[in-house]
Amino acid sequence: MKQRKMTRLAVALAVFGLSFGLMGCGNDQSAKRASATIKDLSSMAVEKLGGKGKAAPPVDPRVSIETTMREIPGVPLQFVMQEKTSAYAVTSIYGQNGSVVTWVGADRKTTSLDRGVLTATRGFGNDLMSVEDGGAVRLITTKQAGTVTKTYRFLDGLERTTRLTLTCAITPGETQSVTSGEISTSARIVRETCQTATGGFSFTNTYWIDAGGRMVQSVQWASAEIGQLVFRRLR
Amino acid sequence: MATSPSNFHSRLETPQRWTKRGQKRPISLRSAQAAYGLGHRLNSDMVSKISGNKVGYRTMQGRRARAERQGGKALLWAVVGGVALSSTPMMAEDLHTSRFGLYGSAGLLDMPTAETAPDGQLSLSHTRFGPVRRTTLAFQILPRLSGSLSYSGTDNLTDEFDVYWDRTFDLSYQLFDEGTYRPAVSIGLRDLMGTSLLGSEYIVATKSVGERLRVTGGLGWGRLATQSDLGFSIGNRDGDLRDTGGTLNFDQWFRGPVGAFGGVSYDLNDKLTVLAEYSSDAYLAETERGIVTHNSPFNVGLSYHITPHITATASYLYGDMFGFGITGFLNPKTPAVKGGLETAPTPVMQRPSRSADALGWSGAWIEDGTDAPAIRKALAGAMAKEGLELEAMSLTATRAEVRFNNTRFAARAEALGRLSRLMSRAFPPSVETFVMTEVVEGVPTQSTIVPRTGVERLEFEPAGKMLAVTQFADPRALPSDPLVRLEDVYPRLHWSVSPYLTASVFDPESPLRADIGLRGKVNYELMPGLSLRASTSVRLSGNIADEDVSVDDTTLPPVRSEAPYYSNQVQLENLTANWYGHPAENIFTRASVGYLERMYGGVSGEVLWKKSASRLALGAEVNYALKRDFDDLFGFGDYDIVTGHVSGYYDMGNGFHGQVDVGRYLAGDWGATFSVDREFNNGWQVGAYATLTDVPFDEFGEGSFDKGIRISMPSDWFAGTPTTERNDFLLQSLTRDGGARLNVQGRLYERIRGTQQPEIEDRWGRYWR
Repeated sequence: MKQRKMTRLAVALAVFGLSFGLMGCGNDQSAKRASATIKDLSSMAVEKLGGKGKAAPPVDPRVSIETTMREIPGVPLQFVMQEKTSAYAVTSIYGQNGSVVTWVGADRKTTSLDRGVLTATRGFGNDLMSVEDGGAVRLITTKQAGTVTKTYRFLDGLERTTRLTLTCAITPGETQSVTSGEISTSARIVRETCQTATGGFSFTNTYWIDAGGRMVQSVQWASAEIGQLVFRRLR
Repeated sequence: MATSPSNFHSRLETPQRWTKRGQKRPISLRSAQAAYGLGHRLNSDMVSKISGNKVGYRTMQGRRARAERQGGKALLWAVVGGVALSSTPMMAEDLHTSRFGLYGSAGLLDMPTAETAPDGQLSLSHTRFGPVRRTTLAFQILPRLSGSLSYSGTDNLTDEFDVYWDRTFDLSYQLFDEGTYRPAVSIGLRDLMGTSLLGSEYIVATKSVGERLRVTGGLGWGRLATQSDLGFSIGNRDGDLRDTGGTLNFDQWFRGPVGAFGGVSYDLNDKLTVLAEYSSDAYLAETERGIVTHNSPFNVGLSYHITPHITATASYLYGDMFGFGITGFLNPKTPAVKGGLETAPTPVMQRPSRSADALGWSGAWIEDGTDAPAIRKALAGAMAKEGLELEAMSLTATRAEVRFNNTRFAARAEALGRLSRLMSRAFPPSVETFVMTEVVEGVPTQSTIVPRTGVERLEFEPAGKMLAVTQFADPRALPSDPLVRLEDVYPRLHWSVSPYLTASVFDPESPLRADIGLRGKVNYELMPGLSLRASTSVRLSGNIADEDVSVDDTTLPPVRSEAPYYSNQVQLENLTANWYGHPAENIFTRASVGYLERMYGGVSGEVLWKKSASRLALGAEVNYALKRDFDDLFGFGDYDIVTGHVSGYYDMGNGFHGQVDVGRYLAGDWGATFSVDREFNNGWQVGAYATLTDVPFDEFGEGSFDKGIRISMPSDWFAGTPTTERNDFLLQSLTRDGGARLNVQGRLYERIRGTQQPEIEDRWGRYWR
């Protein structure tokens, strides 16, 4: 009797199905996405595993800048570099909404700058969704000192909007000459040092603004994962 | 002069600033190298070359160095992750652990602790010691409640089997977290539904002393009272193994002799932990069989974090055995990339001033009637690039409605945000109201109404401000202007061929069975709402079909137990004609006819009442099912039945969702299925179900009744790129004939619900993504 019970006990079965779209074909978008997903994952893996060794020989950004400037004359261009990864792009204007200009590179990542001050990124992953500047942009662009409260917004892992509120001290500094692309000018440096209420986290943004009020160069924090972005107007 | 309205659509192609020398093409920025994503490494030499002003770069480098001194990335994570916590002092930290014991749950080695895993965490563990191997799936259901399902095999525990396999389900609840002086205390049940072989209960307290040391002590019943009986008993514990298992054996809980156990863990560094415990489990049955020699109640171990998500533990147990365990952790709350990796959206286009485009603003352009077709064409093209299919459009001087099919975004808000941007580029300035209506299976399910002014004004504002000016409506309740369908949308053919992998685990004869093959799917939509679907699989290799069909002495017709017979080389999985409808406000319908699933064909009809703003939804389904022949691809057998359910669905609003289905099952038994899922905002679902019918437990067979655990994983969570695709994982008890439901494809509830207002709002943060 007992052994029969055991027989029954021991029989246990579970089935799970997992279908994946590796090498799938067809015109069904979801199936296509599936194979694209695999592609993305494998390229991520390649990047992680063999990244440095296998990477194409680094292209001198100057070459890229010069080529782009030659090919696309007469429109505003901006060089953007992600400090953390040293990845860069030459971007052009994609859209304008009031004082906010959105710049896009060939890879369709965008940075949106309000009179030169970063207010949003898209396509980087872990993007900066929006910034409430608390008057910082006005102080920075007019090269005035002051203290403001800024709120940065991000998406969290559950896709809720999270806020990072910082107190930022803006201080105009020295004047420097800046040469970048077709621009050769003298610019005033404005520094913006932001920290959380507890002081546990801080960063400094640095802006170079010329006499005409144009942001010719800046180094700005975007998000914890993206890190700092370097912007240089080329034209 | 005013812009000619017929030019509006051309703006969609590319922003005009992108064109050079009058060419309608985007700036190529051709040096494809000019991409962030390529990750070119610059050396400082090159930087100084590109940087006309070296100061800027030096400043940045200095900043990086400082960030690193401050703790680098980990700090940044902590700061941003802890934004919500910043107002509360970081004092009594939860007693979390990312190191599990031999049971695959919070514990030292064989003994439990009062620690918990971080909320929502899933883990998969495999441990081996002496004659025992055990695989465990654990889930932190709530911050204080965790559950784990184990499959354990013991060598030579009985005469009959080489390996005795047993499934167990454990629960642990933390009564309170630790305070300054008070320890955390948990109460737990091991094998609470099983055969009592591993049955035990405990109350355990754990206190951290300093940063590194944690001390645990507890009282145990059942197995946990076999070593050091404290000399008193609470009631009587019936030591017999139970018949079929699978039911709550609560009359045994916390009964019988009481034992005491305890131990310590000490973190040598961030990665390495030493463990020591006094076990109150004497392994009586195993010692009696001579498969375990119990020399000592003391166990020691060493645990190592290989990565933050993988932990390995080695141990020496009972003075006789070596043990090894490995645990992988995954938390649905932390996706690969927050907010996704997809490319940036097209920016909103601001309307020209009234003076710059008097005609466009006046609305007089509508008289002409020539703009709509060109706008439709341009909009359809731009939408296609975003994975949105334009099905129909209406246009008046002030209002435009777009009906679309979303093939890309699981986060509907993102689809809406991208569509509203495209609409800002497509329509003449006098069009102020944008209506975006999602169409599912040819049926409009949800309309979202946004003012164009809001889209223009709030592009760089927090998403919440946009939500405040957005309205939602049932498309049937919304007055609609005459819609013009795009001619080439219907009939529409979607097809795909992709490989599949199906695995069957926990079969004692062969713990892992798998099939691989190719699956072809066709969906032919004849007209809105009416479609023909087929799915066929061809098995290339595998051994699932080798499973024995367990023929039991039950009186139930073999409605599911013959499933292995249907695992044919070539299988027509389904071939159906489906008709979806939305006949009245909040009412949705489905009718399907054909080969409904692998084992059954017939007719299926469903009605769903799903009001967008209501947490409660009700549905009813009636099917006439004919059992298919397992040899003849198209033939039928001689079993038929009318089966159906009335269903209630309830979104509890706190991340939990419940469902009750009451009705008649395939074998003619009557009963109900109860399901509860924890749903994460990003699309993860982890849940469990149980079906109780009028089939007596002893007649049902192994497990007593049908129950299972299901996990649904959104693919975009892993890859970071948008897709509506999901991977479903179902762990269920042995497929039996009682409580079996017809597996009809394309049921209404999830399809409709996924497109409606509450789900859109849950992920609204993605509107401007």
